[in-house]
Amino acid sequence: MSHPILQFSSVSKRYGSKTALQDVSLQVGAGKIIGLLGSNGSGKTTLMKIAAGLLQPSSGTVRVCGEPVGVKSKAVTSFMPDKPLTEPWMRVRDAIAFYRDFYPDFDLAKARDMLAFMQLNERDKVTSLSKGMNERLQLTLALSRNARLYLLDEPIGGVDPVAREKILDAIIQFYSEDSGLIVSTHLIRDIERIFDEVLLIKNGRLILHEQVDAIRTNHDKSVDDLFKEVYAE
Amino acid sequence: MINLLKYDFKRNANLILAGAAILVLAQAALMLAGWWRDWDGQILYIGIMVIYVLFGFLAYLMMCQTYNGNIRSYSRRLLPLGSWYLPVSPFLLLVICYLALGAMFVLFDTLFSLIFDVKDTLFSMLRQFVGQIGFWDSAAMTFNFLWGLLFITVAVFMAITVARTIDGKGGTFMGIAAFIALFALIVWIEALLFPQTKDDSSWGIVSIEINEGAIVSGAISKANTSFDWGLLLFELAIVAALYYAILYMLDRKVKL
Repeated sequence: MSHPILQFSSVSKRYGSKTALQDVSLQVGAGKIIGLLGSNGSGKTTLMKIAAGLLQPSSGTVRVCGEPVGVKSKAVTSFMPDKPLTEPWMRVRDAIAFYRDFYPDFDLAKARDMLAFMQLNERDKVTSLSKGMNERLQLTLALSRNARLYLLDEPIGGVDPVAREKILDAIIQFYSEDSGLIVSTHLIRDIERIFDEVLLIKNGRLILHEQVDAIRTNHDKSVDDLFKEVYAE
Repeated sequence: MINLLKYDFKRNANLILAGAAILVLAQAALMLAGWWRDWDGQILYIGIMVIYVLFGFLAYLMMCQTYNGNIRSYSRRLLPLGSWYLPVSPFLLLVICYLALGAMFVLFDTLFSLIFDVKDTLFSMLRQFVGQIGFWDSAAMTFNFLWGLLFITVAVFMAITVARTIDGKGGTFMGIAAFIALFALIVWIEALLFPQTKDDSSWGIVSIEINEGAIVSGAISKANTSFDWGLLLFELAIVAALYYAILYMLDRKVKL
């Protein structure tokens, strides 16, 4: 029996008195690029951190490829968080070597292809990279693994339109078809074209999980328009 | 573990290499100045020993900083490894740094005794002491030092981990308070459980009695080494409990 790539069952997360996620249940299958959409503070990053194993849910269960989140799930999950995965002393080649040393599914040939595609130089110091180039490096590290689940937290936040296009092209070109990929963002117009499904999250609750085509057919709206309607204040 | 050590070293490589260079230059400059100006050898030796102690302390701070950085680093926390490695790797780095520092000290001590014709250096006294008490007692003393280092380090890591469960300055104060409370509690319980064997300064299992008059003259005549198994078991239990608590907090409570 094949398990879903990612499965949340009644997951809640509280920080003291603040509820970040409330009773979230969802399943993500293989071969899908899913947009995790929500305004700032809606719970997108918390959901991703729980799936990646950085946070424990207050209640509920999370499974990745049938395994509870832990050492085994981390081995098949590639997470690009909102903070850099590199350390200040590193050059680009050190970051690549770090991934190669710790992740058996790291594909060096794919990494070299991505570095060339992203116009990154292995000799560059990580601290000397611009924000856009740093985003490209983080994405290179995350997508160069042959993981089952990719989690990209705001991969195009704060980068210029040219870099955005480059990053989106890289996502489409380099992600594995037998994997699930979740991209969180609130810049929907720029990224809508790559989504198969979207998850809308508001105040920690999952309010919609639907295919993009179905949204266009059933609601007669683009995802961006639907987002604006749902999150209008 | 080797890979983790490699990256902990790489992260601190500039600091470690710069520290080693400064230490070598400082002691070379002091020895040259002392030789040139005919300074008192004993005072110069003590001065350089103080520098070594200072660098040993700095190495300890570096280890704490490495642990503090690792437990908050996404790149480390996402690795497909259990949390158990997070405290172990920086501690091993510290042990390696102390071995290197010890080797540098032996070299310095030998050179110093040759250049300044000082016979009663620390290393020569230590060799004499080890020759008198024998291999097993020397091994027990070394184990005692390592055990004390491990015991204190686990307590310090516990305090750092507590500090990282709360955001902001409140976390730092909480960590300091946890450290003080923890040590006060352990000392109190040990005094209750082992009133006859515990003295104020010993953390660990080996009690060593030395004729103080003999130390002053540089000729140590007596060493009596004994194991306190009850105390050892108690401290083993404390270390295991603290380590488990650290892992629990790393997995469930530390803010990321």
